[in-house]
Amino acid sequence: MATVPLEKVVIVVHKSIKNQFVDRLHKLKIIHITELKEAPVYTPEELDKIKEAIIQIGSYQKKGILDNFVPPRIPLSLKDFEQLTKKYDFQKTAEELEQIKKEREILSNQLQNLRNLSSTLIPFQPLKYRLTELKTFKKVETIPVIIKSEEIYTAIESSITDIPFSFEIVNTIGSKIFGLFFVRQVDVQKFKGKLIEFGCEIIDLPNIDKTPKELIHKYNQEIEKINKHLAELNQKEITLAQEIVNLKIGYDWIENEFRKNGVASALPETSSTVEIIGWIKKKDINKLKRLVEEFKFVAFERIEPEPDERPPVAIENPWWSTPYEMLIRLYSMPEQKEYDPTPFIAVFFPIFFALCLTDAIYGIFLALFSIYLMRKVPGDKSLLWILFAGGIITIFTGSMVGGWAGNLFDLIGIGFFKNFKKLMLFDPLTNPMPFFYLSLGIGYVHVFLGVLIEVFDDLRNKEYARAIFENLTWAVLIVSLPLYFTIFKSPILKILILLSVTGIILFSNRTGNPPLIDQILWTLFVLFLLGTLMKIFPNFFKYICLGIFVINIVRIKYGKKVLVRIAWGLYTLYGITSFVSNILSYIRLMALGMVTGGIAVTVNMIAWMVLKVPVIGIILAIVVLIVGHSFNIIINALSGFIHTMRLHYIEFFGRFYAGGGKMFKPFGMETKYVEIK
Amino acid sequence: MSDPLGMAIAIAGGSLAAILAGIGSAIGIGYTAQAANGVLSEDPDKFGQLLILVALPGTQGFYGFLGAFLLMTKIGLLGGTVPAISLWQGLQLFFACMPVALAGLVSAIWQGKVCTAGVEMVAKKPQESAKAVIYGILVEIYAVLGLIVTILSLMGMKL
Repeated sequence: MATVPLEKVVIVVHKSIKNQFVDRLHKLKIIHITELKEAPVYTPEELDKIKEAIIQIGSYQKKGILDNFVPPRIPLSLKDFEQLTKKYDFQKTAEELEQIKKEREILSNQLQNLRNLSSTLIPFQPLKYRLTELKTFKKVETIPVIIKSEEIYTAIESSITDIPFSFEIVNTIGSKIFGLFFVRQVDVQKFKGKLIEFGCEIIDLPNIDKTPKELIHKYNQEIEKINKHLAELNQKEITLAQEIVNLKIGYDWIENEFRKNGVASALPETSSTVEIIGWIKKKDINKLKRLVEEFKFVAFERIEPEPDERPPVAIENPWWSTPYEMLIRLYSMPEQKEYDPTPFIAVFFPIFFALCLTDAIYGIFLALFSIYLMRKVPGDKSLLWILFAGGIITIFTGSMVGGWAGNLFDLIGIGFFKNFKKLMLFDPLTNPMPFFYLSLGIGYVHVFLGVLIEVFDDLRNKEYARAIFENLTWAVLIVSLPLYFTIFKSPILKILILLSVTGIILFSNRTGNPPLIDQILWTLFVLFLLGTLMKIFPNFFKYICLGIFVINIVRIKYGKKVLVRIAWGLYTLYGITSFVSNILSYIRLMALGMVTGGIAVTVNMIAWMVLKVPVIGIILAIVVLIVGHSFNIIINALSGFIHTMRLHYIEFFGRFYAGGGKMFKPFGMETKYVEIK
Repeated sequence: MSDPLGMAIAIAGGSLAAILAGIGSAIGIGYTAQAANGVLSEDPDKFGQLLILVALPGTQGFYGFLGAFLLMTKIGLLGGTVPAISLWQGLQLFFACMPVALAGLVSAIWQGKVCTAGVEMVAKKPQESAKAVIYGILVEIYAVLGLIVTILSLMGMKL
């Protein structure tokens, strides 16, 4: 349980067998290497190529809805993984795909070009001359143009009087006129300038010995050819797309090889050996021993860590709480000295989650759905186990508040189903107070537990003063204070309150190291003062109090540091407000739980309203029920999960857990697409 | 003492719940969906991960609708007998609708902003998408609290 004991080891390997040994070590995945030289990090070109190829053909893959949320993985044994990568030439496939991509780009450009050319030629189709013929005149030049409208043409005709020209209309489409101007070569520049002023578009027709019609025909033939070629390329790509699994396997393999070699080359070395220094789980030592014995020129030794070294942290838990390690990893790993709170999360998390959901049908659905997903989805199943446990507990919390898909069972009105409602303890929509007290009560227990864990943590680490004055005092105070004000005004509780408050004020900050005598005097002063105020001590104690105060004033030179402590202590005492606000925060359990019920009831009401629609009413009602309840489950399961997490991270962990440990990451395979069995 | 104005004010409350919370959700989703479309143009495979972030600010609109719906059943607009509503009762019903309306409006817009930042994070680090969702959901609770206050007030009110 909790944090796993680790050992620091050094392995010395002769350079001649370095690669073989590192390879075997990589496969075992047991050592967290700490000493590595700085090495440049870069991605090799071949890896980039494969990645590009995977993206290129990724869109051909058929995907289920589920795959969008959880990308599927390829299950393989380590042996198959290695063999497949040796047999398959993924470089070749990647290069072929790259070639296809390049060719397609070129062809698309050509296609676009041809289409542009042919679209400019189409209006000039009625022209019966070959295009070269337009350029055969000695002194006259032909200018093909598009004029926007007839009015503009008449304007041109009437205003350009100083340059002789003639015009031939070739075609009119809509109001646009397509035609040829014939102008003397000496006037061309000037004339073109004028045309542009009138907003005419001057066209550049290709100088080819064909009529426009023939040319368009030729272009169309070429376009067809390119299209055919493109279709062939696409076909080839689709065929290659079937290789995506192999490419993915290849990607994972190459990446791992590359990382492994990177580590191997960054190991500290002497002239003939390299050293592998790192941490290993105590129970894995034998595995390492066996591996080392296989090689002739390898030796290993356990070593003491450096005095200020922070070892990495690995946690291990019994089967019922391992899934919840995920939540610890998400927050922060515990420090080596800290208690691993996973078992507590395993107990409280499903309960909180269930209170947020509070609907038995939803609980059943969630449990079944997570089992279904566990069969479908490879990889880490922690999240699904958490959902499963939450779903099971939700069945109980749901029947507690009478939530069976809202009030669906009441509406259906079959006697058998109505019986379920008898399990209901209270109806939160008409009588929310029990839910309110339940949430607060759970919050109180949870926060109190947090303080207790910290007390035990301190005791385990032999920090006794911290355990007593910073945590035990609080534990006593938050138990006795509410008890005193709500249930019984026992004098014992009064004394407990007095002692804990005095402890917090004087000793929660133990800085400065003032003389013992002043510490005792000030403690007695505070104790008697508060005690008299609380009517624990008889009235004459206030004179004793005054007497001590006078002595304290006289000794103020020595006792100054105690005053600093008291000031800090009072500030710490103010922290009681954080307990109140933390416990109030648990009301979110009630709020989320009631929202589930509220939405579910509304969905049912709408469904029963549309039921009155003739003929298709029943279908509509079923659609409303399915869509509405699915929405409700999704949004409330999500909210419930995250707010439960928040209660653990902020309210619960805030009392005892700092985290910040480095995660134990053994050197070994890490894959993106492949799942190693 | 029945007063037509009372009924009108009550309906105004319900309508505002649906309108304001709906506006909030529309703005919130608007922000997030634009950012998400931008990311999808680079990598369409992120659709699933982004969908949750885009949909999150949508719940407030639904909460507002729920508030309006409860009010309508309360004042008998959806069948049943229409109770006599005085001016004061109308105002009470109006104010009962305000928590979900206003908390929904503001929280949806801010949730939209948080989720938009989340979308940008997912674009760079897809493996961290869960964390982006967590921050988004933290904004949600205040709309939930508003809805609870509305539901409890409406349920508790005697007409």
